[in-house]
Amino acid sequence: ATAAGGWPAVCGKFRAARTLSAVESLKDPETEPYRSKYSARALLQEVKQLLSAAEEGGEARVLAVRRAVLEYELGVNHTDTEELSAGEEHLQRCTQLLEPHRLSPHCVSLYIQAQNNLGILWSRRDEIETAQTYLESAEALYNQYMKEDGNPPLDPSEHFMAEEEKLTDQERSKRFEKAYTHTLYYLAQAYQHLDMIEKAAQYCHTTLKRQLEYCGYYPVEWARNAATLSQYYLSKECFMEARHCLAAASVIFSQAGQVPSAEDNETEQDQHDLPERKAEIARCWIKYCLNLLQSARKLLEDNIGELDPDRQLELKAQRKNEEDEKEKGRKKAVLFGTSDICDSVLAMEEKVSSVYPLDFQEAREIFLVGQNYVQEAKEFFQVDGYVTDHIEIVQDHSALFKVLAFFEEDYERRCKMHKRRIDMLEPIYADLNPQYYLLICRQLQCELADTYFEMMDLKVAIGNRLEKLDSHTVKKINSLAQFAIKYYELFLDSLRNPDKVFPEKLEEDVLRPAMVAKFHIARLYGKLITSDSKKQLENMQTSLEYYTFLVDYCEKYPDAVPAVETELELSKEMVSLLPASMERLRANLSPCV
Amino acid sequence: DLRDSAISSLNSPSVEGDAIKVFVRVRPPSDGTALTNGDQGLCLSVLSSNTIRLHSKPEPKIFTFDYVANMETTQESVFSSVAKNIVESCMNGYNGTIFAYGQTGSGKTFTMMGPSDSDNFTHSLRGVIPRSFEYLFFLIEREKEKAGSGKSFLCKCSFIEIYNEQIFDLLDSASAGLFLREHIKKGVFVDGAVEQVLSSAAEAYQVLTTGWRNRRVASTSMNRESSRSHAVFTITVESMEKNNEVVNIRSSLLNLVDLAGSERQKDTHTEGLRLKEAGNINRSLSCLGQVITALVDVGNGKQRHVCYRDSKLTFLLRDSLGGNAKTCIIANVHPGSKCFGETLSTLNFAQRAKLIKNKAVVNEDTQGNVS
Repeated sequence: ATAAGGWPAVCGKFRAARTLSAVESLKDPETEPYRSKYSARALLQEVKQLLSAAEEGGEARVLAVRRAVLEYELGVNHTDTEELSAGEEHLQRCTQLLEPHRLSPHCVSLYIQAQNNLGILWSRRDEIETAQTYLESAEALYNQYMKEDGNPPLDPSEHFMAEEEKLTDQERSKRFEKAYTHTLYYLAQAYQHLDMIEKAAQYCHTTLKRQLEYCGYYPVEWARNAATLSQYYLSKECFMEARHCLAAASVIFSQAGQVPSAEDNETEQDQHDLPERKAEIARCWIKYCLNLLQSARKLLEDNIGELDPDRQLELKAQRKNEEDEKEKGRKKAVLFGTSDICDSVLAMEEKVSSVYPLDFQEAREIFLVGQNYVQEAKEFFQVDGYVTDHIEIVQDHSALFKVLAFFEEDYERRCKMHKRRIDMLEPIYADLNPQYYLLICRQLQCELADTYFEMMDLKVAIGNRLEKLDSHTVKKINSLAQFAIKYYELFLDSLRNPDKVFPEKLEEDVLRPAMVAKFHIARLYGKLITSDSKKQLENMQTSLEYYTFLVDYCEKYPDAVPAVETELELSKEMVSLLPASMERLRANLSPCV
Repeated sequence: DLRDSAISSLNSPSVEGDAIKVFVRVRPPSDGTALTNGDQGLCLSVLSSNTIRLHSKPEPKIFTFDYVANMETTQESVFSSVAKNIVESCMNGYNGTIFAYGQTGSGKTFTMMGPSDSDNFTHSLRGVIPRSFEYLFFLIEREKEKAGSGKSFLCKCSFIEIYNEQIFDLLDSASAGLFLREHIKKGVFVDGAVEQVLSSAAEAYQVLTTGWRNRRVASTSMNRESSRSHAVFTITVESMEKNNEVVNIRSSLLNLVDLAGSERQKDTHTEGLRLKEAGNINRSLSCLGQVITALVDVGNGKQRHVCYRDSKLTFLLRDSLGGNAKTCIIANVHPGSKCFGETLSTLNFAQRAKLIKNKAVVNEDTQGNVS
């Protein structure tokens, strides 16, 4: 019943239009960027004419759907050529035609794709909220269809195909699911633009999951995305989810270069990048271990930063009760992968816990996993070539030791852990050129100073248990304190201008570190042990000077006070007490005269 | 823990010290659009040597910068007010960077290089880069005369182009893509880039000419649009001074950068607000990675690792942006009213750049000891 040439000719024109639009248009010259798109549009218009000529003959619904397909194609064509209003009209007409049948397997896929395109169109007009409503309604339609019908629906292209060309159910399903994946992918972006961070994360997660299920992914990129998503979960302290993302990232990454994929050929560049990508995933794992340990420490520490045994018992009891609950929660979480992949992911997960470690043994297991990833990451990020990355990894390694030390009860062993930190940081610091790495230099100076400070504190505590301080311990304490002072001073020197003058007013970003350095130096001079009273007096005098700096500075610049409240309070106290003690010391010295 | 929070404030990129200096230069409109109608057809007027008024509606907007060069300003005077000081600091051991920023056609290349059809750097219209060479070698000669045999200099240069996140060596047109690497003593460098030793300004012109020609050839034969590429010319100045047994080595970098047209950056900015479409193959759901990175960025100061690196250009010039160098930006604008939008965004960018602060440190390394 169709016009000249019949139905096959109509289908041929339609097919030609699609080829022009998708394939030929890529080769258009820059001076005529839309040449093929315009030709495609002309063909689509022709098909539309032919269809209306045949109006009386066919079944009403079939005709309506065919017309809707054409409106859809025209809508996309117009938006592609930057004619948004015309594009919107066509797309709207498409959805109007389909409205009564939108839940039928003939129309549902087309309807969802039209909604997707309306979403994109409105986002181009910077109206993300409007885009969001279209995309959400596409999402709802998918869910309703899957609930009520669920059979693989027709692909829009099939409405202009001869019977023998029609797609298999498998292919139909694949294309339908892909359209829906795109809905979720656009929603993830829309939510991010609307600052709905949690929802955006959830939709990223679901998009990744669906990419796996429908084999529409490129392993390295997928793994990288999943590993990055784990870092989002870390910031929310969702360790189970973070671990799941990382385990899946590692499993999928291991497929890279193994699974031949017809669609996505890996480029040489991709092959070249493999070791780097692997090391990056390792770095995400390091952060996982570090955060889990640090969060546990926060739960367990008392008001002076030591492990609180009562709290430890309480949490252990609590954990027993929660174990069953956790299992249930796990089943509700969105898991990646189907059967095979899922098993590998679960096996990977078993290698490291996702619950807070509550004692040294548990902490050590997580620490060791983290340390292994440190080695792995360093294999690629070597200091020669990747200075910043390499040092960041070493800093993480040091942080792992630091938090592990919190769980260690034995002071001597704890001290050894801090010594390990010194041993890894000091040589790097010595080589680093502050001309290019000023910020990192300062970070290392502060960290080295703090570590020496910590070691000195531990030696003092060990010494306090002895009946009498032996000379070896005294020497050790003093030398650790001197090292701490040295690194704090190096940091403070880095703030001086080229003429070696210390800044009158400290910049915001270094204010607190600088004040804390001054404060710690004051305390360190107070802790130096000497039997020589004159020397002791000198140390007290130096200590007083540093405390005074803090007090004076805050008086001069009151806006600095909030940054150093505790330190300031203690400094004021010391400034009022120290002169009296010094006076007493002097009095003891003078009778001989 | 008191100490932890002290360190955490050090973990954000440093912003301190001297602010980046920002200069604005207004080019004359091309010959066709004559100035006979007074201010008509122009979207801005220069009020003084550091203020500019943009004729926006309903209220005009006034911007203040370190220096505003009007249409009559000569190449010589742009050089004196912008670059002279940076070349001098470079002799004293500071790193220095000069950027030219602005939309295509706003006069970036004219400002940095000179008239586009001339390789002749004796031309009175030659730009900042050739003039910097002349001045640098003038200062070196003067210094040598002053210090006698005790002081020696070594200058090297490289010239690279960043196009589509790939690095090309403009001094070796046969080379494939190069990579950025870091050295614990030397900072960031382009691995494998040709380094040419320079002993005079004339040699520097030669290198610049060769590189510039390669850039043009590449843009036609390899389909690279030069308006979308950044060109970075780097001179390393090393001085060695012997004082008894102690050897003082100072080294500094001078980066001269011709940035890609700013309108391209605006494109990517507006696109950032839109939803990125999925292409024909699934792999191109690539924007998902950007979304996820943005999610992680809001992480509240927690320890995290983001698997996506900053761009090649910012990595290479990390030091110059809020780092350890003396930096200035020349924002070029076209005064035509057709360019209003672009001009506004360039001025806004320049305004923001003023907020970036740099900390310059003398690069001195004392080797050897009194034995």
